[in-house]
Amino acid sequence: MNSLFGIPMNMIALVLAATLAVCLLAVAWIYLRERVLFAIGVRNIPRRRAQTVLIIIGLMLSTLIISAAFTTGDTLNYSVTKATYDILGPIDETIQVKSPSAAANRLPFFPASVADALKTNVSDPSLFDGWYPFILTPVPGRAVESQLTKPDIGLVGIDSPTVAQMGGLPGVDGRRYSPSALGPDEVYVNAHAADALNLGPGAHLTIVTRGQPHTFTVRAVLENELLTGQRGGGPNVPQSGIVMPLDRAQSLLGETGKINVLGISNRGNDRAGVTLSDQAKTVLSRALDTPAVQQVLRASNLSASVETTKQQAVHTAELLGSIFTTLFLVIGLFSIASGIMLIFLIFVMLASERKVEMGISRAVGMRRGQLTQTYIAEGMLYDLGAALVGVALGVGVAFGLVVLGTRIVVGGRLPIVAHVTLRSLLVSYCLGAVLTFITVAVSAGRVSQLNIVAAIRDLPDGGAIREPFRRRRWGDVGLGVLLLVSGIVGVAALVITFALLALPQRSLRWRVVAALRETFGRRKLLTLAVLVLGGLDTLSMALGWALLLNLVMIVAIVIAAFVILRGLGVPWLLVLGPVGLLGGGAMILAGIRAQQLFPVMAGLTLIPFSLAFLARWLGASSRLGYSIAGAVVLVLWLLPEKVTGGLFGHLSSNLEMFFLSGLAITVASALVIAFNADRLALLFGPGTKTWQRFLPAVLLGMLAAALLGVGLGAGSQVGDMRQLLIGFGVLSAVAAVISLAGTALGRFTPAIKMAMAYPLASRFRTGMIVAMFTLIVFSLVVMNTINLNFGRAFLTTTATGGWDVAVTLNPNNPMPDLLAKLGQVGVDTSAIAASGGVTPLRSASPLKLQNAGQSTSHDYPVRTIDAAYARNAQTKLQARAAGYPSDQAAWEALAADPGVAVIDAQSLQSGPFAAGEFNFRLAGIKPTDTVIGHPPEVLVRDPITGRSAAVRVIGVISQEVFFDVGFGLYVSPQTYQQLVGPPAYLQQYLRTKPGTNNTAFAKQIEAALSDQGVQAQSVIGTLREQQSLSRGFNAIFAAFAALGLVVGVAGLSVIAFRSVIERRQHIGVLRAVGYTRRVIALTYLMESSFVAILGILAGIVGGVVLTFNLWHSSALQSQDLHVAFAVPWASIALYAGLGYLFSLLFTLIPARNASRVPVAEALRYE
Amino acid sequence: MPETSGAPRPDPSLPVNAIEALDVVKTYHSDGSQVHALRGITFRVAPGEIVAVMGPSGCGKTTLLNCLSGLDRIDSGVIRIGGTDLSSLDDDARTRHRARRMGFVFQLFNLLPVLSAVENAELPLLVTGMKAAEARRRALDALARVGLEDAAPRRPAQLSGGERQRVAVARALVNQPDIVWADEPTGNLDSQTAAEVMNLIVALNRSEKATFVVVTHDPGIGARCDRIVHMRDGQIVEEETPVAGTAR
Repeated sequence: MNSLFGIPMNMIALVLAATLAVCLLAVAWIYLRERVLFAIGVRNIPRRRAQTVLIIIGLMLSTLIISAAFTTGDTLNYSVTKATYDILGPIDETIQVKSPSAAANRLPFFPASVADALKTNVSDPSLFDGWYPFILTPVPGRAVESQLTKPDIGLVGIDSPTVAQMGGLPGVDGRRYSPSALGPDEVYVNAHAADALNLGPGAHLTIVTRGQPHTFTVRAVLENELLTGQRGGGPNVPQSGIVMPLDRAQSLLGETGKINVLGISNRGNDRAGVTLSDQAKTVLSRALDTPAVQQVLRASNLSASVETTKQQAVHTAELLGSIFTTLFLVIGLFSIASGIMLIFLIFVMLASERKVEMGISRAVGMRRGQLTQTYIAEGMLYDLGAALVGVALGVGVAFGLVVLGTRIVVGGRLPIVAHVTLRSLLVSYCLGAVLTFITVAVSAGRVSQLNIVAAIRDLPDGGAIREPFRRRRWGDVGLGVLLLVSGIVGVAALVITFALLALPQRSLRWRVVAALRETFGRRKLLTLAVLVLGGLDTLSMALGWALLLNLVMIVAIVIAAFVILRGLGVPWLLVLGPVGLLGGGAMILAGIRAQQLFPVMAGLTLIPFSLAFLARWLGASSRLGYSIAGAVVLVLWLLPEKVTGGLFGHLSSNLEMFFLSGLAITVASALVIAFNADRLALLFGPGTKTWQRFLPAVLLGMLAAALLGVGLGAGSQVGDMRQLLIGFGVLSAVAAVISLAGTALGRFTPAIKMAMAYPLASRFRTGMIVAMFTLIVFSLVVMNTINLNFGRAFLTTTATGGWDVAVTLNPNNPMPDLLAKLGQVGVDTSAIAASGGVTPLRSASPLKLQNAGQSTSHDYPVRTIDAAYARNAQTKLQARAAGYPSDQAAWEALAADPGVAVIDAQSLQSGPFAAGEFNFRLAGIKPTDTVIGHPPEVLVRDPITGRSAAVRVIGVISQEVFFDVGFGLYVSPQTYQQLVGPPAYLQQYLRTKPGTNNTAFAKQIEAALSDQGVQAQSVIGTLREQQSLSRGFNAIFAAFAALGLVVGVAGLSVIAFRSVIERRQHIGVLRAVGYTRRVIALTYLMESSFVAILGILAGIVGGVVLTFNLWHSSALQSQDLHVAFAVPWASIALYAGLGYLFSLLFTLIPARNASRVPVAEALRYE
Repeated sequence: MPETSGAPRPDPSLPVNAIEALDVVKTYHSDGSQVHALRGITFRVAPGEIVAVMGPSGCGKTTLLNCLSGLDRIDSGVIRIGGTDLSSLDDDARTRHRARRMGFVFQLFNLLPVLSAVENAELPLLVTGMKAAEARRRALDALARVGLEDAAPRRPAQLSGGERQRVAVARALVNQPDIVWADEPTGNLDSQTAAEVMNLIVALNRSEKATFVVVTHDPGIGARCDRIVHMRDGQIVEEETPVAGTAR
């Protein structure tokens, strides 16, 4: 994996290593300047070993998640590239030949002399160390003994001198084999064929070519490689193959003297050769253009191009690795955020434990900054150790969870090999350590803000007292100004670096720098920097980094504003309020300007909190201020898009919104809960009246009613909201039952009383733990709900395109009239209601597509349909040009009008996951459009033949339609013939009559036409199979996300362990006044239950409501997802139950410890 | 129903000694060394009596109190509380025994900071299974008896040292115990507040008829008790009946 979020991994590693070095230098500075402070800080580490272990566990969790994500990316990258290297072997490039007369889905044959001509005409023969001319074409086959059949065995014809270049073909027994060793009726088979057809040495196999059967004896079984029949279609598609001498294959296929693949190996071994691919392509392309080669090609009416096959496959593998790392990192963001909260919490707890000690230190003259430095020194040492443990465990988790999980899900499709690179380990370590260091530094700053008298007397801080203006510290003001300037200069440096890196060659970069120096001289370079700053915005807009740079500038300015204002002695609330308001406002403006939703929503979320800070400064109660702010933010995020969308119009958004929504909902609900938990305690409180016990149920009911009202107002149907309402109904009922049970469980009152008292007394801790659980449960609920609803949407009749059975014909055995053939072989065709043929996607040649008015063109598969398909089409269009009354009318127009086309919905998508092998993006139609006002024009061109045609796109196929039908640019048969050649409708679809068993019918067709190499499958069956694969991956993602629950559970556990020490004396008192050991243990278990349940419930409610809104947002609803919204209550209950269960399990040990505290000793504890 | 609603004391059916300790030995083991905290203590207290235990620091006063109240275990000897042999009770039974028949007042007040004054006071009642409303009523009553009815909703951090100790006394007496153990109850208070708290203890002893064992350094406090037991090196070295004690 060479890049992440589009940034080169080397640069990421370098920047992170440098940042960590800065952190280490800061600690070294503390050591050199304040050795005593350093010693005070670190002395706790060896003294309190159990505590050290607990802290390291808490601190390493973020690094663990990061390391697991990178290791997963490395493993997938390595596995896919390894499979690519294994399959392609020495072959780096292939020569692809096109013939206007050949069927588009079959590699055309060409004279073997092309290879000789090319070989003698390359300008630099030393670049290549192998030439591999061979035949590879699919044929149907049947094993004689087992009677198992395979419709598309790859028949390889290759001669011995060619094989000798690579030392023979590798056998599964480790020996090397050559075609010259084969007898006249002998063949080799590859391992896939041996498995699929139950073949081994001595077994017999019949293949059909040109309608004639030929039976051979298997001599040996070979490894799966391109040269043993593993064709294109990706390494994850197992393909059977047989190998025979080239002349015999030519004779069987009637292609004497011809081959259809020319593979070329670059100098060096299988992995090193690929680095020369670009150079090799240039040399080979030049050779193809030489008169000698052109003469041979023209004689056969052929055109040829060079494909860097291995380089492309490796690139795809790396892209896959990068996508998976990005996905795992995005999913892991929630866990990382939880981990950061945990680190913060741990340090706040440490501070609270050492409050008296800290107060005395301050009283005897230690400055606040020195206290912070002491904590940073201690924290950094924990951090360095924890990051190391985190990286190691992350690798373990990735290998255990992801690799094993993927092996189970993918099965034999792709061998997964555990792998991790040193660079990934370095990046994970540095990222984890830097994140932890920043958190430690911030929390150290917070804990040093203590009231000395309150600390010495171990009293609660006077939180209600308004912080006064402090003495001005001009040093801090200077630092802020410096930060402000360096922030801006930093952005400028970033722009220059990016611009230089964007230049193609290193030498050119230096030349640019030298030219600048020459022009401006040393001093004038400063002038240039100022000019760059002035034009920064314009430049950033031009380069497309406007948003990123705006955000970097906003962050730098906000931090600088904080430092300057604090330096001027302004109280925190008066800093946070106005800076938050300004920052929020700036983010909204930046977002509107860049048409991005993320900064707009982030800004809108900041404003209520900033107002709450101001209100607090003006004397409003914290409960009132923060509760209102939290509630406003919740409403903002949980309102349907139709209500909020009206404010700013349509803004672009992506995956990052998922994270922001989770964070905002979590913080808001944690605030509302932490400041109002005493009201929730009414459920159990000893003095609660019976009517009060129904309040939570009534509140939940009111929330459900409000949701129903808002939903109906926004145009949702009652049926659509059924699941949501049932969920809230069940929650209300559970709340009522718990409330009433509270009255009946009087003997638990002492335990309940203390279990409530502690969380209610420390709002910060409670809020943090609630937030950790909320965040993780929220992410799990959203992921599972979205997956469930998409899964349901993609199993509808829209998804099948209106077809029931897919029949794939063999290119070597064309069948012009499938229905007639089926009748001939005895298949009951009365079950067939309609049929249609398309050119298959798998073998579609990518052509170049170019939006009218644009200069760049991109690869895209081009296909066509036959008249029957047009007549019977039920394939849904999500957007259609005005003038076509129905989808079918558009399909019929496509068959008849050479000037029109229909395209898939993916061509409208953009963003990090939209790019793939086919990267054409259609201009002129938005993903949300349903009517195409002005059908955009697209120019289609064959880069090899140079033929082109212009078409107008009159329809966009619904996103729901399955890939085999739903992907590609469909043109009319006439246009297809003009561009590619005669269309071969090798992919046939059948619509059966109601009541037909499609799976059985497909099997009947396949059995009847097996010797013709025909494959038939039930469409819905295939979709279900594909979904099971995607469900498997979703399960792995969910399991990875669920790792975050470990953070929440660890948080509770750390708190419980710490509180046993903190409350030792309290436990003594409780035991003295009559709390038995069991009641003490129960108190701990109930306390963690109270916090965990609140967090889990908030996550469920937030997640379900947000997903409901997301599902009904215009972006998704425009894609015709015709299923009622469903909630995966079973999965949610499972995760919630597991989270709760583990929180209980991990509280058991501290609860047991608490119950065994010696009473007399505890009472003496101070 | 909790036993705390029982008959007023002293009850003629109770044994002669509210507390009886016979040859009690307690040794602490730490890092290979032994500390003989109690060396064969024999000690009796009559129902309704106030006994002061005095002696230099480290002589075993608090250990004696902890052992007699069942907070700590002894190595050998016998302790009978109200005629019940503590060694015959397991931890749960001893805890329940404490909840129903004993109250505690500590030098550091030992109130739970997360609970209000009234919530602190009602804890001993809740653990005996009393209904919440009844427990609250009695706790408020106990606070009223120590003159703190207005402080009921306040947390310990919002109370002065004297007020905190009065809340602790209210908590000790709320379940109408047979015995109240007070470990340096005035050790953390100024002399005037200490005198007020001691007045309160003596007054409550009169009204509630509970037995009080008070560990103290303060001869003034000892002088207001019925009997003073002097300890040194884990042994009782002298017992005296102060003149003032009889009159208080």
